[in-house]
Order: sequence, then C-alpha cells, then structure tokens
Amino acid sequence: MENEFLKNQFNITRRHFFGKAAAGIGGLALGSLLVPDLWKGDGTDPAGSLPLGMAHYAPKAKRIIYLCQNGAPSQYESFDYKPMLNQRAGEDLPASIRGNQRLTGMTANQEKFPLVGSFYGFKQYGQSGTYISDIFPNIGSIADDICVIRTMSTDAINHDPALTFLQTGAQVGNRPSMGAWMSYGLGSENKNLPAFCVLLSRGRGNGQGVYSKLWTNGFLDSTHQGVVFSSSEDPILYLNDSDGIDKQARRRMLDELAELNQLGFQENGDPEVEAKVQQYEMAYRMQTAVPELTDLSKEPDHIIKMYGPDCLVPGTYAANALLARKLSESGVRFVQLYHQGWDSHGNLPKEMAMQAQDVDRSSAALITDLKQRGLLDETLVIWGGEFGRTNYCQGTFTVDTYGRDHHPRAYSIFMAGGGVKAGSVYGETDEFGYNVIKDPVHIHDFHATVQHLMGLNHEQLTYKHLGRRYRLTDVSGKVLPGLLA
Amino acid sequence: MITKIYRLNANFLIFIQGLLIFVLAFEDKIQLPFGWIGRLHPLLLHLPIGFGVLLLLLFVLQKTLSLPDFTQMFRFVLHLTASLTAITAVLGLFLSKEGGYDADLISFHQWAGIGVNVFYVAFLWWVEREGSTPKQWLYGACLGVLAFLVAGHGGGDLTHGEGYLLASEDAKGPKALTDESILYEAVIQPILKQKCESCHNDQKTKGQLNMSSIAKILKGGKHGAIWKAGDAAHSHLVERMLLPLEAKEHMPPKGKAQLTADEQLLLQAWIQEGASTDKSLKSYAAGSESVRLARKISASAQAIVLSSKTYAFSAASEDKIAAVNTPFCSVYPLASDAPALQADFYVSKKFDLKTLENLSQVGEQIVGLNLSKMPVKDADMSLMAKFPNLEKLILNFTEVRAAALGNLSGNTHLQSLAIAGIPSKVQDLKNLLVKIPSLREVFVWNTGLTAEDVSLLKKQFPKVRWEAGYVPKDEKLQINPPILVNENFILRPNEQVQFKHTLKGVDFHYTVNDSLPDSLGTMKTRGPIVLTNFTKIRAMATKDGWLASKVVEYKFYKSRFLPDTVYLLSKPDPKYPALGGSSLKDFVQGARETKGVPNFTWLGFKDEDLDAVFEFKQAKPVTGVTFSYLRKTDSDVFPPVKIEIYAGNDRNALKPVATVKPEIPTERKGYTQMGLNIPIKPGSYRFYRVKAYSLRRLPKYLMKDDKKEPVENHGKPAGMRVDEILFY
Repeated sequence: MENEFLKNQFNITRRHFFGKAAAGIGGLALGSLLVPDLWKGDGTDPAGSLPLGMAHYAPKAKRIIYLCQNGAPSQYESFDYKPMLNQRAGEDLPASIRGNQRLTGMTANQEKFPLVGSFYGFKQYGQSGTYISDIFPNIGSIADDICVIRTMSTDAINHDPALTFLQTGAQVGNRPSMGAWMSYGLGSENKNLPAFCVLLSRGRGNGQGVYSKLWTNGFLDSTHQGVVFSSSEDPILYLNDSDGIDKQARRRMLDELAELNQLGFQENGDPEVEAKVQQYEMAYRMQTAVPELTDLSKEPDHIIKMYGPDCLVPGTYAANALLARKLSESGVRFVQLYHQGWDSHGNLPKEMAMQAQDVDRSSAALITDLKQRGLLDETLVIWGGEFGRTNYCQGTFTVDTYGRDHHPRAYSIFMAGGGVKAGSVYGETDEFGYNVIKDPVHIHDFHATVQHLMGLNHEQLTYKHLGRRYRLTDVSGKVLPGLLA
Repeated sequence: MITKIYRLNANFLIFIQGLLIFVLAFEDKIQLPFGWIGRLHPLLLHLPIGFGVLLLLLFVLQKTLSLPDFTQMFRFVLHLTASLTAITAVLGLFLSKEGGYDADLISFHQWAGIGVNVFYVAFLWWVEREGSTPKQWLYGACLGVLAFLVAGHGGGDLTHGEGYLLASEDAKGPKALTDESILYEAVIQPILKQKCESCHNDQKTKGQLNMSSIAKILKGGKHGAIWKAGDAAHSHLVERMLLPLEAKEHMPPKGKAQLTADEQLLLQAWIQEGASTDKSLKSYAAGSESVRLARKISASAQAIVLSSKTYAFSAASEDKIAAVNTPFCSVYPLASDAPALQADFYVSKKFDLKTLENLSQVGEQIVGLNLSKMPVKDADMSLMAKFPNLEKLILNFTEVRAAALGNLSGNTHLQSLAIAGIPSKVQDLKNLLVKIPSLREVFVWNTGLTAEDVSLLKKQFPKVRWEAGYVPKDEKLQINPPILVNENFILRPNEQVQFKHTLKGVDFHYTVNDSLPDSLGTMKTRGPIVLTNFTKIRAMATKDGWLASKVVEYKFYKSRFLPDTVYLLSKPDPKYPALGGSSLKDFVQGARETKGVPNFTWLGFKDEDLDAVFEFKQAKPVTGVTFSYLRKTDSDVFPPVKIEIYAGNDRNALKPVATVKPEIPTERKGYTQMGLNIPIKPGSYRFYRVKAYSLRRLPKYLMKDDKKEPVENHGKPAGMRVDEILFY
C-alpha cells in the first residue's frame, strides 16, 4: 500500500509535469507583478543594474581631497569653542556628563579628570560668525567657504582602529578605503594618473603611524589601491626610463610582457594578473603626465606665498597641499593626505600651535586656490582627524602645558566645496563639549553623505566578497540632508 | 459523549444570549469585576471567523465522506463557531464600555456582532433539528461568512480608522516651506496628525480629546484646553509630552511613534509664540524660534531630493562616446541617468586640436568642457559653437585672449566660465556678458583685473558671481633657504659648489670665513662658488618681497691635485682597516657607524701613528694639505696630537715642509667631522709624506665630566680616524 502510494506519487507523465509546473510558473509570474522593478534589477548588484565607473545620479562633487589630520587634533583648540571649560578649569568632569564613556588605558587610572579650557582664544569669522581658534587664522579667513561639523562621533578610542574605521568603514583591516571605493564606483577621470593618490607628511607634534592598510583596495581589484607618492623631490620614483632604454624599447618591452602575462592569465585565471598589466600601462602613461604635475614654473609667484614657502620643500604638508590641488585639477578622483603629529597627550598648547602653523595656511590656500579656478564647486575638501580629545587634562593639570586624551564621542572636522553647505556649522555639543546634543554625525553617516555628494547611492555601491555584499557603510549610515547645500 | 457536549454547549449558548440581553438592557449600570477582560475581544474574534470559513470549506470534502461522517464534522465545527461567536460578542460589549469610540461606528459594529451571534445560534438550532439537509447547511454557512464580513469590517473601521481598507497608501510628502506658508498648516498640523491623531480622532477619542481638526483640538479633552497660547510651560500638551517615556501619562504613549526632540522644541516654541493657527512664516518676528525649527524640520523631512536635471537632447551612443575618448581627453556621462557629457583635457604637451574638433560628434551632449592649461588659441574658440549646450567652460591658463571670448556668443546656455590666468580687461568682460547673458559665474583670478575693475563688474552685473580669488597681501614671508645641488662634500679638482632655489630670481649671500651672511655686505651670487680647500660655507637666500631665509651651513673638502699612488707605511687599527691607504684619496666621505659596527669609510689608528707617502707621477705645486678626521671624544676618538708633512722628489730624502698640532678638545663632544687646512712651504714635488701622531694616553677630564665613564680609560690610548688627505 505504501509502495503503491509512492509509486503513484512519482508516476507523473511529462505532460503532467509541465501542466503542474505551469501552475507554479503562473504563481511566480503573478508574484513578479507585485515587484515592479524586478527585472530592472533591485540595485543591490551593480553588475546587473547600475553601470560601474559612473555616478548613479548627477554628482555635486567629482573629486575629493581628504586632508586627514592623523593623530586627532583637539576640537577645543580648533573648532568647538567652549568658554565654560576655561571658567571651570581644574574642576572635576561631572560623572553625569561622562556617563558610561570608556577611557583609554592612559587616563583610566587618573584619580581626577580636571577640566581644562583652550589655551588659545577664539574669534568669530566671516558672515557666518563661525568660532575658530586663534591658531587657525587662515582657515578663519575662509570661514564662509567651509562647513564645520562639531558632532562627529566614532566607535573606536585608539588610533589604529579609529583611523581604519574612518578610512574603510570598519575597525578591522582589509576593507577597501574610501578612495578605493570611489575609484571602483566612479573610475578614473584622467587615464594617465591613478584614481587614488596618497601623500604623506609629518609635523612636529607627537605622531602616530600611517600604514598601507589605510589606503588599501581590500577585496577590490588592486588597481583601486591608493598610490603613495614619495616625499622626495621626485614624487614618483623610477618613472624615468633607465639609461639606454628609449620610449620605443619600453613600449616593446611592455607589449611583450603583457603577452606573457596574458598567457599566465589564460592558465590560472587570476584577475590580479590583469590588474598588474594595467598597472604597468598606467606607469607608462604616467611618464608623460607626471612631469607637468611637479613643474612649478607655470604657477604664478604669489601662489607660493599663498600656500606658504614650505610648499617648495618636498614632503611638507604645504607641498602636499599644493600637489593635491595639481593632482585634483588633473582629474585624480581621490587625493588622500595624511599629516602626522596631532596626538597631543602632553604639552598640547605648544604642540598644537606648531601643528597649526604647518597646516593652517596651506589648508586655507588649497580651498581658495580651487575656488579661484572654478573647481571648488566640483571638488569636496575634507579636513579632520580620526577622533577628538578629552575636555579634561591628561597628566599633571596646568593651564598652559596640559595634555588631552582620546575622545571618540564628539569631535570637529570641516568640509568645503562640492555640494556642502558653505559658511555653516552643523551639530552642537554640550557646554562641556563632551556629548552631542544635536545632529550627531556618525562615521557611517559621514561616509554615506560623502558618497552621496559624489553621486553614489551608498546602499547601491556594493561588492560581493566571501558570500555577501559589502559597502563602505556596510549595514548602516544615512545621508544627512543638513550638510547638503 | 459528544452528544453530551453538544447539549452542554446548547445550554451555554442560551446562557450567553441571556447575558447579552442583560448587558444590553443595563448598559449604564454594569460594573465589570475584571476590567481588562473586554480587551480579549480583538484576540478572540479571529477564531469564530476562522471557524465560520472552515464551515463553508467543509463542503469540499462532502463527496468523499459518508453522510454520517460529514454530519458529525459539520456539527462539531458549527458548535465551535456558534459558541466562540457568542463569547466574542460578549467581550465586545464589555470593551465598548471603555469608551473613546465613535458612537455611530460602535453601534453599527455592536449590532452587527450581536446579529452574527444570533444568526449562528439560529443556524445551529436549524441544523440540530430533524430533516434539515446538507444543501440548506451550505446556504447557512455562506450566509454566516457574509455576516462575518459585514461585522468584521465595522470592527476594522474602529481600530484602524474609517476607510482604512480602501484608502490609498500614498503618503503625502511634506510641502516645501515658503515665506507664505502658514506655519500651523505646514508643520504643526502634520506633526499632530502623525503623532496624535491615531488615538484622538472622530472614531476614537481617548481622554475625550479629538484632534482631527483645529476646532475640535481647541475644544480640548477631559482636562480642558490642551495648550495655553503664550505659556508653553503650563500647557497640558507640553506637560504630558515632556514626562519621561516610562511615565504612564507620557504622550504619545510608550510604544507609539514618539515626538522627536526638534518636534518637541517646535511645539513648545510655537505655543510660547502664541500658538497661532493662521500666521504665515514671514509674519513671525525675525529670529523666531518656531520659524527656525519649522524650517529645520521641514528641511530634514524632505528626505534627499535628487535634482536630476532634464536635458532637451538625447544621449549619445556608447560607440560615439568611445570614439571621442583618447588617453588625453576623457569624455564621460555626468551620471548614469543623464545624457549630458563632460569632456576634460589633460597633459598640455599632448594636446591635439583634432581631438577637440572630433568632439563635435557628441557636441550636442557636451555640457562641461575643461581645457585648463591646454595650448588652445583664439581661433580655436570658434569650435565652441559646436557645443550649443555647453554650461561650464574652463579656460584657465590657456593661450586664449580675453578679446576672443566673443566667439562664445553661440553658447547661449553657458553659465560658468573660468578664465584664470588669461590677461583680461574690463571691456572684454563687459562685451562677453552682453553677448552671453546666461552667465552666472566668471572666475577672473590672475587676469590682471584690479579690485576696482572687479567691483565695477559686480556693480554692472550684480547677478553674476565674480570670483577674483587670492589677492596677494603686503605681508612678507620668510623665503626658503638655498638648496644645495652638490651631493658630495669632498670636491674633485673641477667641482664647484652650486646652490639653487625653487623660486626664480633668488640671490644667494654667503660667507666662507665663519661669519654670518647678511643681505648687504657679504658675497652674493646666483652661480657656482669656487673653493680652494676645506671651507665652511654659510649661505642664505634673498628675494624682493620676501624676508631673507634662514642660514644654511655646509662643510666642503676640496682637492686640487690627485695623487697617483698612496703607500701606507704604518699598521691601522685592525677594527678600522678601511681599504688601506687608498681610502685616504677615494672621495668617499666617512660615514657614521650604525650600532657600533665599524664601516669601511674610516681608516683608524690606535697606539699607532698614521704614516703615508703620496706619489704624483709629475711634480705638483702643492700649497697645502687638507687633513680630514673624526672627533668624537665621548667614544675616545681624538684628533692627532701632531701632524708632520714632508716633501721632496726623492722618496728616501724628504724634507719637512709643515708641522701642526691640532687642538686637543678639553671637553666631551659628540660626532664631528673635522677638516684641517695645513699650508706648506711652496715648492713642486713628486712625493709627500704625512705623519699623524695619535693620542697615546687619554686625558683625565673625561671622568670629571661624566661619573659613569669607566675610570680605567684614563691613560689608555685614544682612537684616531682619518677620512681623506687632500692636496691643494
């Protein structure tokens, strides 16, 4: 009986099968009608829907220059004016303000957390009346071009994870950096230069390292990796043909090499082989494009004064700022600067003043320079570090040699150009500058907003890896309309 | 057994009918012992509906079952349906006693519910009696389902609001705020509607408050008016919304959508500022908090609006776009959904006019063109006519002259023009603006226009943004120091010292006598500097309009004659053999030791003197010898105590020509490379012999300076390191 039953169950003729399947397909078809865009792709798979190498929608900014202030500049001596900290200097940070905020191992054992105010005064600048510290007078002079965000907040409390989070959207390593995502999503504008360039400089304050995982391509194709420029007089080494090799010989060599690599690719199918071939080609084309970049002879003399004479000294922040403008002007999608030396755990007033001296003039010059060339509207400039600093003193309390520890809850950065609200201040912290009381900007939101400005939907720019799709914002982040012009 | 249950159920049903009649009759006097029991109504009501439907579905099985089996099943389900319907009806009645519902709706639902109950009781009676047929049962089951539909719809209207079923789900997006908008209508009312109305409406008036229209809101509820215009702090609405979320009285209740912080602030501000329901934004005083918050809320509510511009032309084909792309000209769509194209030229020395001409293939689509730094000329501007939809044109630092910009008159859509670095006159720009009235921004930095010129243009064309950019201030900055071109500090006979500078027109002031250079008295050059022997150069850069640079300082060792052979006669320290005597003339400068490991650039002696003979194939008129050595007294490296030089043409009969005693340091000092010029008696010889005597007994002062220094060192031999011996 049971056997018969089973027999019957399988006793389906071809006709029956198709008849039954038709009903199933009918159900599927009806279901599909309920999803209007089903066959147009739902946007989660860019390969199937949105073309790569193109903005999803009309972008506000075509390029980014990210002036990363590595080591975390203090918000209290730069963009978040908190006079109450001066009035209450020396008093202990109220427990109600600190809440459950964890501390670093450097100050967790301190008996007291004496509040300390800015050693430097603040002034209001521009029509916007933005408060900016006296050690950044030049940035003050362009206050009406920038949007100060006072409520950045991050998840990490130490440099390495915080920087990695800021740059790649995850605290663990090996996710693609912002620049790599832009290169992947938007492609390169100038085919003779990498889409993602990295410039390094070091200030005189207490420094923290930078490392290649910050500009990694992660799981993306390695053509999207940040290309680090040398801080010597020759920003790109080994670009000249060696003695006895002329242009034609180089071309022949590359062609032969590409053929060999192609054989290798056919054998093992490793996409990195193709990436390598493209990189050789890029290096070849860079031979023509780079000399123009490093040539300062066409720059008007007063450009040098504008950026400050340091811009003539290779490897300085000022020189990198000038080079960043030239790279960006030449269509480099993402120029990433890192300036080390902001980690002022002790003797902050002196260190911070030196750091500010290094970056103030040239940061402001870069923005003005883009503006006067008609490029600021299409270039997004971002200035800021990986987290902020504490409102209390680390180590022995004094009003002029104090230090500040790491503070992830609220800190300040500024942005300018491409689609951000110029001459504005976004967000508000409490009187202690410790907590966000209005309009928080989490790192994920920051990434979402930056991608939005570049014409990318952060939820749709994805890459499938290890069985799931990844985004710069991973599973969170929202675009903040208040930042948009 | 089952018949017993059916009988019991029949009794139960009769009991319930009685209860219903009683409750209906004494509606106002009833006091429920368990007030919450009525709230089980929404839970329970789904069961009879389900069974009622099942009752109908049973007929699908009718043919496969024997009549007794079917009858048994049908009766069972019908009993369940009837009793559950009755219980649900009672609970519904209890719930209606809680009040707060629209009277019409509730009365409809109540009587419909009771009707269903009565129907099923009657149906059950009909089925249980002898002689009824399954066909009649089928009609009954159908009727029952219909009755449920009617009663259930009434219930749905009560809980979800009238018209819920068929209402369109299109959410009405918030309207953009203008100065004319009535603040109440544009912002306050939508908030109240969204966050309050679901419990305070025509159907459901919790707390006797109905907020479905402003008139009804102003009537207030159980506690009277919900706000006092001008007194937010004492307004009932504000009090309740500011209670902690956990508080029972907090509004909206926990679990419902809460007011955001900004919405709370706005409601307070609006009440404080008079709670006007007909004032437009512009009639509020400047600096009004309500207006500020209203604008903010309305801005953030308007989600991200993507301004996708529509263009009058259609997209160019991919093939065409590919055809106009070259390695030095990128042409790409502005966005995936726009037909508009941007074209950027790169690498000026690779500029090809043909590429620009070629662009006319997609001329209609091009809205942005960047020719910055390209060698385009006046005549090429006529090509711009092929881009009728051009909106942004960048001509910075091209060879176009401002006068030729008139050729752009065909570009009637041009909004943005950058001509930085192109010498221009006010008249050129005036002509341009008259020809292209669409222009909204012009970038005129570095065009030679004065501040007055720009303000004149601003005055005449106030709608245009004139961007003059950075105007050099009078401030004087310190110029960078000179950059040394030389890579080696030991100079061969023809080598000179050369400084350079990244700025043009820079002078170098320098000294060679240990004094500081200044911009007046010292030597000045732009060219090379010729040295004769070991020299310390101090130099600085000067330029008009800049402050003089910092002073840089370099030591150079200079050779005039190169010996052909060196014979080292004494034995070097086995730790510092270098490459023997040839190290003395190899032009390789002594390098620092890394981690105490000796390197081969220094020839060292300890407890031995340096004795070397230098041979020239032809006699040379040497005027002096430069002896270069290391001084590092903190690791026992000392200068020689005496240097003797002999010369002659017969190697075996050399005569003394000089003797010097270098200064022995009297304090501890770190690493210093020293050079000593030793002039000799004039003459021309083939052989020169240099003897340098090392310090045999370390002096005592070492210990005095640093207590940590081992006492045993005193009296031991010092080390001597020699780098080069040069002849000038």
